[in-house]
Amino acid sequence: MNKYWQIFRINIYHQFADRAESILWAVEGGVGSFVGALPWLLIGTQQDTVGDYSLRGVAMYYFITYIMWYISGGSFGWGVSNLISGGNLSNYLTRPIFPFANPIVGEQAWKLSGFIYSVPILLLLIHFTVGFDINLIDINILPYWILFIPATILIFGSLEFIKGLMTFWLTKITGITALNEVLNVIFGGIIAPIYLLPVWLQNISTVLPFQYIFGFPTAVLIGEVTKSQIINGLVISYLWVIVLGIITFGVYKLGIRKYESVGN
Amino acid sequence: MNLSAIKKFVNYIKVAFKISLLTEFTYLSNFVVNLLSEIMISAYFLIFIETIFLNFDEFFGYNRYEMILIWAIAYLTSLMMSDIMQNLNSLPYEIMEGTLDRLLMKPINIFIPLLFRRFRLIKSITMIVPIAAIYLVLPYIELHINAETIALLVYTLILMALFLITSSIFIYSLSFWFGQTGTYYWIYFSLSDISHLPMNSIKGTMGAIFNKIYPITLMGSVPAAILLNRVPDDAIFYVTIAVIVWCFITYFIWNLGLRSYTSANATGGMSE
Repeated sequence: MNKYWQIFRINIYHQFADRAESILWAVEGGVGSFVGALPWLLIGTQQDTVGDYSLRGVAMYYFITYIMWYISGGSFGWGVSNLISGGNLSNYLTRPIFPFANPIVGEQAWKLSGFIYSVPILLLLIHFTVGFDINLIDINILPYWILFIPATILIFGSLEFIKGLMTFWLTKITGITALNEVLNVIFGGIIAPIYLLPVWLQNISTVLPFQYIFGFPTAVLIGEVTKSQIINGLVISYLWVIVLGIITFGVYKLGIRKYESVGN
Repeated sequence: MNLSAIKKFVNYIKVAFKISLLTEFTYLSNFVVNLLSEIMISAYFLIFIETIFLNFDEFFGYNRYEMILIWAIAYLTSLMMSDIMQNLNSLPYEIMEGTLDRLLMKPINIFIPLLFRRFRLIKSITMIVPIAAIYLVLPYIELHINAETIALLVYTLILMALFLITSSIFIYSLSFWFGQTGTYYWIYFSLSDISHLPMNSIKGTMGAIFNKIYPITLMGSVPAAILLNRVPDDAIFYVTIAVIVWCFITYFIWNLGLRSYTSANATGGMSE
């Protein structure tokens, strides 16, 4: 455990040394969530609700999704891919540590520094748009939301890891990366809150893992999901954890075997 | 600009285009998957428009088809500028790495390789999607097309290109003093979604910023408003002033930055 802590510590130092770039990334995330919420905020100048849903709650959805990136997200797929394609994986296979520890743990350090910079940006966004209102978050639902967090981290992490591991077979993974992002945006409740999307899209999203990363847990936190839907969501999300875990393990083993047999 | 400079420019473009095509087709399956992703991205905002119009009949006086028109124009201009904007994104890295010398020493204007070093065929092919969308919504909207409209449209697109290039160079030039600013590309990318919204929907301080100071609405909202005859009388005047100011500020900052640029090999003669 100490080895992983040291990797984390070294990367934290790097992040704070490059704090200008980390701050810019946090600003970028804030801008993205603001622009996403903007149409609903503009409509909110004329009316308070969309259907049965509060427009302030809809805007809050985007802001919470922004901060969820620093809890559940983190693009370490590129680091995994670079390690394989650069041939440096050979150096790590013989070490007494998981070969991909550096990109995975390093990304967590980036997330921590990003989270620290994004909190004041988030507070400013909320202050200048929807205003601070504790009723925008359903406190009674908080324990259920916390139960979702490990699943969100594992689902996102598995998809990222699989994406990076594809480098064992493909020379370039920019196409797969782009496809993963597009699927996440369309089926993950990034375009708009899950509960506002067309019904056909909601039905497809229910059976895919993407909405259980950001969209569904965020909808739970702002109280737009019933208790029975929450339980269903928890079951499906942890089922996806198991399925993706098995796939990740299989892809990893096949990839390492191919890498060791073919060489760098 | 003399004939020799034009010849160098054309030759550079020809070589850059050839190398870009060869690079893209070297990884064919990656090219196909990337193309599929680009086309699916267009579904993103169409689904958003669908979500809005499930709940509302209009968005600030624009109906569904007019919103699709705004989106299609914004997407088309974004694709047209994407190569230049992505190429420019290498500038802060060149400054930080000290490799700007390679471009400064060449017998060609530095902005030619900076703007045109790479072409992405995928972006050109994807333009079919917004063009098809405009064609499909034409029967449902009332366009005001005459010589004046077309001239104004062309003028607006030139302003848009000037604004995007100068604002990017301005931000990236700050790398001469303040470190890596390459992330600005993704901030611009996020902000460009604002051009999918009608001009009249963004009012007050935000309206002043995004319509007059940082006129990102030039990418979609303004051209669509021109075609629909809904552009405010003074809008083009303010945008012209803004773009002229951006040009001057960028010219000043860029030249100041070049003077302070020392590159990776600069030793000030101390090692001699």
